Amino acid sequence: MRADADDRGRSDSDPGRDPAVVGRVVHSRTLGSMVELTVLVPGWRAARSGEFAMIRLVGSRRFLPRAFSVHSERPAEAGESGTRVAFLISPVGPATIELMAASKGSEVWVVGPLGRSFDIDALSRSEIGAGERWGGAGSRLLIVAGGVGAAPFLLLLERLADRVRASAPRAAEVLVLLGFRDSPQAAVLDAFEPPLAALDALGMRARMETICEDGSFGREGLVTDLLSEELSDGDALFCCGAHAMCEAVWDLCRTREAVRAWFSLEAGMACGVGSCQGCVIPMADGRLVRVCREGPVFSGEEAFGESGHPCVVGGGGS
Amino acid sequence: MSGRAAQNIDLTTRLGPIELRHPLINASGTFDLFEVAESLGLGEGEAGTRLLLDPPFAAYVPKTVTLAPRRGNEPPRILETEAGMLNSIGLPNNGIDVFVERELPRLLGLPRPLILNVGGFSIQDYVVTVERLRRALDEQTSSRPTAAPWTERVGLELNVSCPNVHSGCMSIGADPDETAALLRAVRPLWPGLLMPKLTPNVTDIASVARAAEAAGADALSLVNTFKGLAIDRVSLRPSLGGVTGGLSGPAIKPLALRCVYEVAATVEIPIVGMGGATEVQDVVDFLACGASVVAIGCATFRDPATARRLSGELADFLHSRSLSMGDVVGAAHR
Repeated sequence: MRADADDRGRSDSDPGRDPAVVGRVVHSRTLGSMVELTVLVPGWRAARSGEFAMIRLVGSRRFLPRAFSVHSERPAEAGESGTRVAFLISPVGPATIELMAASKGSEVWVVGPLGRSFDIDALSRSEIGAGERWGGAGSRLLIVAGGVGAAPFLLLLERLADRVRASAPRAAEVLVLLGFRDSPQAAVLDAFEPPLAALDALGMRARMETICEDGSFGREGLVTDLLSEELSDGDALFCCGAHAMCEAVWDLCRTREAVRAWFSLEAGMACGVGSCQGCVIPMADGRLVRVCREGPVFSGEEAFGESGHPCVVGGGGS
Repeated sequence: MSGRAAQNIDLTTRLGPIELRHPLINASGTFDLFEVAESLGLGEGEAGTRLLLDPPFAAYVPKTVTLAPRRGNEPPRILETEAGMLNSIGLPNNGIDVFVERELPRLLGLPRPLILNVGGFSIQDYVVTVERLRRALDEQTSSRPTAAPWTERVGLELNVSCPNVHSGCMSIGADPDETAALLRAVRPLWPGLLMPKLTPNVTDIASVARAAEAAGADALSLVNTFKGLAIDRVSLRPSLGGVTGGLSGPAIKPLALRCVYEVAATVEIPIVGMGGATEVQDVVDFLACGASVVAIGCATFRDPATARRLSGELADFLHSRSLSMGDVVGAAHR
């Protein structure tokens, strides 16, 4: 740091980047009832699946930014600098509707990536009994998502492909179970085909099953219907969706042996960086923890305990 | 960005014995420097590292600490409203003993003055908490006897205005006599800057301000949030777990400016003005109404380095208008 004689918070030799940067919308793609918004973000570090960013349209009438999971990342194209970061946005309230309408060239404040991610490394270090490590020939990773909860898992599948290429520890098989409310929500599916095909080409068993609540797209039912058919002893599971869905998924996990599960949970946030204490939710042991700092990814045990835990969360992302 | 000439503008200001490099500090409870820095990353060149090396604020005001640990209010705790937000956080903290042991040492290592913030539920609570804080400061700074006394870099804000706890605090700040009694009790225990934070949820904030000044306050900070309420559209019940909450953000700026204006007209001691300041013009407005320091609150939720931008823009403003800080502070009263 420079001597403080005249420093009014500005410095010619900045020792680091600013926390909030202005990104630019480079692509907006409607996927049924959702929008995939791609923002060119300067100075972005590579995100891990489950991490989020606080984003807010420059000039928005909404006061606070909103938290969105990182959906995918692409390198900048020729003539651009930064990273192309995609977010999946579902209409929840005025702020999300505003972002969905943002056109190419719109400026967006971005703070991120933030929060605790899904952690394949921790998973692959864990023992699954009798000294055997997870990641062996029979090991499976189940991805379970509802609606816009699919967002973090596109990045996960892309990172998984990187792990296969790098011969890093990973599951022998990945199974993606996606549940949708209706067929417009299911339009997000298309984005998942390429990374699944890539995993398949790399020789990893990768499969996706979908189900739709109102029967307007394929099989009718809830994602937990799929899960109850697919879940086996010893599976690892990453889940993102509505709180009630996460609880139901955890309840199912408890009916099998040695299933480890992690959940990306949601709460209304103001700052996203641990300051305001606004996004707390109760854990199974009664502690209040911040979704932005201690989460958003929690293990099933810490979030829900040995059995389902009644947990009320304020509406996020309006 | 700022021109070279604007960089020569003198933004320094004083709050009692504490000199500030520019007039922007954070509002207590809206910016947790260590948590934000860790969130943003502490690697070389990462935003968190920069925040710790070069905090955007001229002084750092940590969250309120109370005598006993507090869990805080049940969620939901926050809600965006038109041009602002409601919060019902309820002063969660680990209590003074953990604070002096774990927080104070690293706070004293920051390259900025500190304005610690204490809340309580009775005058006795404040007395015990402030005594422990002072003892810890004497101990933790005694290893550097040649350095300037800690009173030049550590001040104390008394939170007598939290709207989200059900006893003490705001009930003290709402009453001129109680406020004066608290200050008379704490004044002999605290050798440094002593600054009560006033609530706007009163009929006549100037009378509370006068009582605080007469009882020994060195400065005043105002305003805390306005008590408000929101209804959930589905349940038709209050949205927040704490039922009522404190309203902040641009929505309250004209109300806060009025409070600062009325208080500045009646006291001689310096004022830290706050309430919805988001852009540089808001900062200028508070200064003009008589604040010599402006606290940035929930604007930091959008951008943790808001104050860095605003201090630069304030220098630009003064330069472009050929004004000094002295010309602007209190201009509305002349």
